[in-house]
Amino acid sequence: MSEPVTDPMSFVGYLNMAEKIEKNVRTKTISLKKSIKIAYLSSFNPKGIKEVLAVKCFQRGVFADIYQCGYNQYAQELLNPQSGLYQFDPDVIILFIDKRTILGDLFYVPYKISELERRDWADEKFSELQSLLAKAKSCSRAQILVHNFDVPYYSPLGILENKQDFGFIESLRALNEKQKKACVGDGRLFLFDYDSFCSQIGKKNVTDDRMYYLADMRLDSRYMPDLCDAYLMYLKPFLSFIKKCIILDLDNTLWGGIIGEDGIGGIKLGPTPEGRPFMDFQKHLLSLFQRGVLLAIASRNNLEDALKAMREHPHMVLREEHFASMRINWDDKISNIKAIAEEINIGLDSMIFIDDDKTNRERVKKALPEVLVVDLPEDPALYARTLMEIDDFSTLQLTEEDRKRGEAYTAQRHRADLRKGADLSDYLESLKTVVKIGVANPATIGRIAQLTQKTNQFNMTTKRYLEADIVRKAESGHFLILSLGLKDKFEDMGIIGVAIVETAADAWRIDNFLMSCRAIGRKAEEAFLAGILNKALRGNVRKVMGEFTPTAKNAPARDFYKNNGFRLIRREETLEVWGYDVLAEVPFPSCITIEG
Amino acid sequence: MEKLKEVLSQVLKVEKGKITDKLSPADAANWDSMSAIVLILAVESAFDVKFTTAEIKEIRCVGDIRKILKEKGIRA
Repeated sequence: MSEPVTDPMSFVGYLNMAEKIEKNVRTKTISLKKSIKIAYLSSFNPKGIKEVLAVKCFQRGVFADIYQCGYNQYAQELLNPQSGLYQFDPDVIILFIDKRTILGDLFYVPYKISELERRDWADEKFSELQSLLAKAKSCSRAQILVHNFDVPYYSPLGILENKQDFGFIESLRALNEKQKKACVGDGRLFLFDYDSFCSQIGKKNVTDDRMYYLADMRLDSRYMPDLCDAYLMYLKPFLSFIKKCIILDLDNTLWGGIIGEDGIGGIKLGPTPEGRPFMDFQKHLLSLFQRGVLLAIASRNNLEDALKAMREHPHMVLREEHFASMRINWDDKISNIKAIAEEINIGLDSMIFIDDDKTNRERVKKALPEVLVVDLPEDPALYARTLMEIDDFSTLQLTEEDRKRGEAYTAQRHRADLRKGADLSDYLESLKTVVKIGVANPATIGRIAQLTQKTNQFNMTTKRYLEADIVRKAESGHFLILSLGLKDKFEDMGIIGVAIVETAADAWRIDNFLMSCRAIGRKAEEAFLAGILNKALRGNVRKVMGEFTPTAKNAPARDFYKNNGFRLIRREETLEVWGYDVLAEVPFPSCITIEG
Repeated sequence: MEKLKEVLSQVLKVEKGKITDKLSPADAANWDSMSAIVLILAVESAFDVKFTTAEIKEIRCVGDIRKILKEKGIRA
């Protein structure tokens, strides 16, 4: 940005910067890798929120094209299928109805109605909201982020408020609860917990009353950056900005002190004022491990010293089995981080690095800018809180595969041990791999969408789909959506592959074909492709087309069609179209058993 | 006046040299009802003061802003 602003994080700084971003993107002076279309619907004057959100997205390399509804026109826009909102075709709709809007006069005089009337009020408001949201779902393809209501902290009844049957405060809580339940099990609807957000900033600070009366602004401009950070937590997974692995240092990070000097009895870890922060920090890491985040170690230490602590220290929460990769040696941290990325087969941009040593952090920031380096505070008492504030792990759904991922990588380490002693074909035979090709169903669609969003390397076209896109394709009758499940003698990996095939009568087109990187290289991808070709044969389809679009990351998939008997038919800019003449049954690789 | 001019120039997109006490919404194209609000928020944060609703409603030109700041003990 050319002209400096005195304080770039001031309200005016945001407004001016947003204007410049918009101008520079429109005139193509700058171009950003990603863009997202956001429709922002509010029941009040949202001045500033749009601009701050645009700047926050820009800072992450994303152009946010933001549509705002006319002043308090959210309902009209949502209900009219021809509205500007739907013509805008948003990726995401954010709906922010303020409590004063929904309550109207009841905000000031809540007890002018009876308990029964309050119950009716809550039911009625809920069903009004649901019909708005249902309309939004049917008229758009957007993911919808809907605010709940910040529950007032004031009641005219004072201490007696909590002695009421279904009192004023309770009626809003009940409305929030209903809204939350409506989002459970809905792949497109996400609740934005504005009540919790307001609690974090302090409910007394939420509104600048002067600006409410003068300009109908409901959120104090000072907190707009916080609000937009909270929105980003949802936007990051929509954009596939997801961190998958935390690389940890050991000394003064997982425990206090230096294991090589202090020994197992001297390090600080356990139920003491100095040891508890480290123990709690490890517990938080464990909770992330359980939601599917991978853990790894990069530490300059003697391996035996570190392993002894990990195996024998009575208060160690994380043990060897929790780590997908351990690089404990005297090599350089940077090369160890790269080695970890290679070993567990995920990109550096999916990594988070946590180390108490500032010099190490600065070196990693400089050498590996894709890695998110956490600025760990000096005081270990603040470690756990720092970890909780990282909001880059969110995925759009939590699947059984996520919960089992940690174990899966331990199994991978064991497989690597097995590989050392055998040649490749013996090794693949010995894994006793069983795959199962399934047609997408309600139980698997969430995982299928997630794989299209998260898989980068073995991904032929890197087309990202939301759950709703998959459902629509499956229901259209023109697509065959297949999943590949895999298990071997070590573990059941669950669903690790997806193929989306457009099934015209004369020829099939593989719109995308992808596999989770931890399952590639054992011929399961070949078995999956053979399965598709054989399905085509059985359907009397003689031609199958496969597409490949190169990205910065999908080199492992580049020669897949070529190596499996496809011919290059044409190139359209970066898109390669490959074709296969289906003449006979394609044999499955001998090391793979097909189930079902 | 320098700091105030800086703030005004950022909000209203007017060159600092053209900012005088007499400058009013009539001469500054960007001075509309919304930027008037942004202007107040910016002045408040720059000088660490709060205006009352009545004071905000009284502002007709740059000189009025300076007058209110002066009443609050700030020479701008």
